[in-house]
Amino acid sequence: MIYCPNCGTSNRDGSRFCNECGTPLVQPSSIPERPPTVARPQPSEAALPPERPDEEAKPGEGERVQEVLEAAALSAQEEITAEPVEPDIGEALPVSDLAEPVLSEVEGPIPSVAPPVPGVAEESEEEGEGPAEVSAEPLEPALREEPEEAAPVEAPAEPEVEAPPQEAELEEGEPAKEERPAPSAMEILAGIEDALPVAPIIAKPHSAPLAPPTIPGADFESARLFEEIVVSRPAVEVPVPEGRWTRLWRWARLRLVYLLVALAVIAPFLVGGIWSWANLPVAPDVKGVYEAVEALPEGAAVLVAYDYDPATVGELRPQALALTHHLMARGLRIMTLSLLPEGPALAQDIFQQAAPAHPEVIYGRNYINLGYLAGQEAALRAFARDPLDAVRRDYVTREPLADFAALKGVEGIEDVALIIELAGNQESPRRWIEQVGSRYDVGLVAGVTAAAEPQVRPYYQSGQLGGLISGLPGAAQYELLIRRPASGVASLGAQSAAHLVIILLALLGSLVYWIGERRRES
Amino acid sequence: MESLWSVGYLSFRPETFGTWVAALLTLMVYSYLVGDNPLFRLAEHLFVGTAVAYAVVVAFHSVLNTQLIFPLVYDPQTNWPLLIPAALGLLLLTKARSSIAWVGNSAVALLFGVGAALAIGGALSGTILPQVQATFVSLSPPHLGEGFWGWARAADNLILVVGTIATLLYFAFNVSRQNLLARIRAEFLRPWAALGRWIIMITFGAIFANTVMARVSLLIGRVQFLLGDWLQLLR
Repeated sequence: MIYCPNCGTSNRDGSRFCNECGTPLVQPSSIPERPPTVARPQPSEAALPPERPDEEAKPGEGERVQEVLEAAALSAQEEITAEPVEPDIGEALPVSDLAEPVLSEVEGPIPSVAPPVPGVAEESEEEGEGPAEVSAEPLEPALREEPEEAAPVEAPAEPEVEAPPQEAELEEGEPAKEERPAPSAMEILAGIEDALPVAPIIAKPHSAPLAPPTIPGADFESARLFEEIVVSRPAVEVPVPEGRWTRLWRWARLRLVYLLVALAVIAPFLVGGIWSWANLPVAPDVKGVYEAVEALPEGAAVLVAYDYDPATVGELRPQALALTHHLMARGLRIMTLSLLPEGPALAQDIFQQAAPAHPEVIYGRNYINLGYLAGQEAALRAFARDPLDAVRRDYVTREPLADFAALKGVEGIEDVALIIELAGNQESPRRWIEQVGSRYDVGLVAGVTAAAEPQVRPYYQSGQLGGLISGLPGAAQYELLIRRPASGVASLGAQSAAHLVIILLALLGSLVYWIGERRRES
Repeated sequence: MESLWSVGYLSFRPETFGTWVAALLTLMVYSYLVGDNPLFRLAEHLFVGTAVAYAVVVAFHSVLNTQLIFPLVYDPQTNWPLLIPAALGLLLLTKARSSIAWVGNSAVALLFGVGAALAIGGALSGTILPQVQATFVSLSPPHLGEGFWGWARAADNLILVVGTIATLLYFAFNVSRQNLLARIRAEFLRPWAALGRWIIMITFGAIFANTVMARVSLLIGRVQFLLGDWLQLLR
């Protein structure tokens, strides 16, 4: 993580600018990657990275940064090779901070082995800072030789480990004054400190000391541009004064489109005779639904799923009404179910509309409303396994389902001869196909809205649906098949006129746009 | 106008009252075409409130009453396991209060786990495999029909296969060009991706056109209601 020096936001490694405020994020060699928890004296301003190009251009400041960073890299390198160094206390960034980026290049964890430096931790505590970080460890052998001159570097906070013999010479300084027991007093080295002096393990970098960071001016320019884009307010358009008629036309032209479409829909109903429904071709997919119903023996159980709500009644009600008429005329037993709370009422409305035309049908014996089934996929699986247990009571009388003759012999979904799915979206047919149609040997057909049809049609083409009724035209075709023209057929004139008006308006709009473009070009 | 009064609008039968309310609400919603106005807002709020209230009532009667209360009241010794899902359902209510929301995590986990498992299993067996299988079609005209219809079906199948492959290859983003093989692959994918993009656009166009047709159908449904059920102008 790289922390923004401006706002403190953590950014991903390699980020060049802060995701929050857009401040340029200088390379990790000059900005610590962790929040500064190390005890350190207040660094001079020259040691801080400049945030703006104009700050960088202050006389002598840039050179000062360069000098400090070079000294830091050199110091860190010298510390790693266990050569003593005297940090420049108080004038520049503490050596401990400057050595940290160098150590960050070292692969793997860096264990701390040296005892704490006397006075260092005390100074840190006096300044009210937190415990030291691992970054100061390479400095400690040198600092221990001259503890009085030691810079306020951090005390080690990592667990101590055994030191390798090749670094033993580093431990020849003055013993540390620390509450913690010396390494020799610890269990693994107890009694052998004379034979095996403790020395720190120091990982050395793979490459030469890092070059002082140089931030190209283009980065600052990019950051400035980014900040300008982010911070700047959107341009306010000055309204051009319009004439009264221009404003009226601007308001009226869209309403004119609405009015034309409304007239195209209303006029055919009032005038009539625009569409000769006898010429309406019947699509094979609609015929598939009709033939699936026709193929059923009298008295077979059919499940009609009302998976639509009032928003799509305009398209699906004619379908449902035509299908119910057909099912009742064929003497089939009808069960209705819905995965939506609004569905049962819509089904009941269809029953009330269709039943008077078939005096022989009786609720409970020839048709029944099973109501709302909550639970989507899980509920469908439960219903397919045992319909009477998944629903239990009917929607109208709230009586147990076992009492109804319409459900006699229906113990599983395979006892249903055909499932008719009426859906206002593409999700419901997919659920029925995936959870029931693909798992049980039961016929499945669907009636959907025109908007859902493109997503449902692949199931018809793959044979998973035996038939498909789409939108109001599909309802009209089905009404023709059962020879009971109703609202579907009556709406064909309005449908055609509305489509014609929409196409003409689209062409007119494209033509006007094209002419306008030509005029502008000329 | 005489026919409008002769059907008894002022008799205030329940059906007539409902028809008038529905007609007025329909006109209030369509008033938005003129501009946003309080009547439209009133109808909008009424619709949302009524829909939620109706859903709650149906859920209570069809789910809680039918699936839980009745079975436990009439036959508790047999139906006592229903208390387990009831308890899980009650745990979901803790999600309304953030301090105790963690109590409902197990119920949510069960809900999502079961739902995801059923959905994934169903999608695999009900959609993915059958749809892939449906693209294994013959491209030989003699096998598909005689004369013109054989060739027409073969062309249809060819469009299906090529369209499926091109659409899938369109989603092969981030093509590497680091070596010769990768560059050859990228050059191979480029025309397929372009074709796939066109097929996707045609598909979206078809979906949009169908959506327009669906919306016109809904308008026709409302006009039929207003002219027929309300004004009695249609036979």
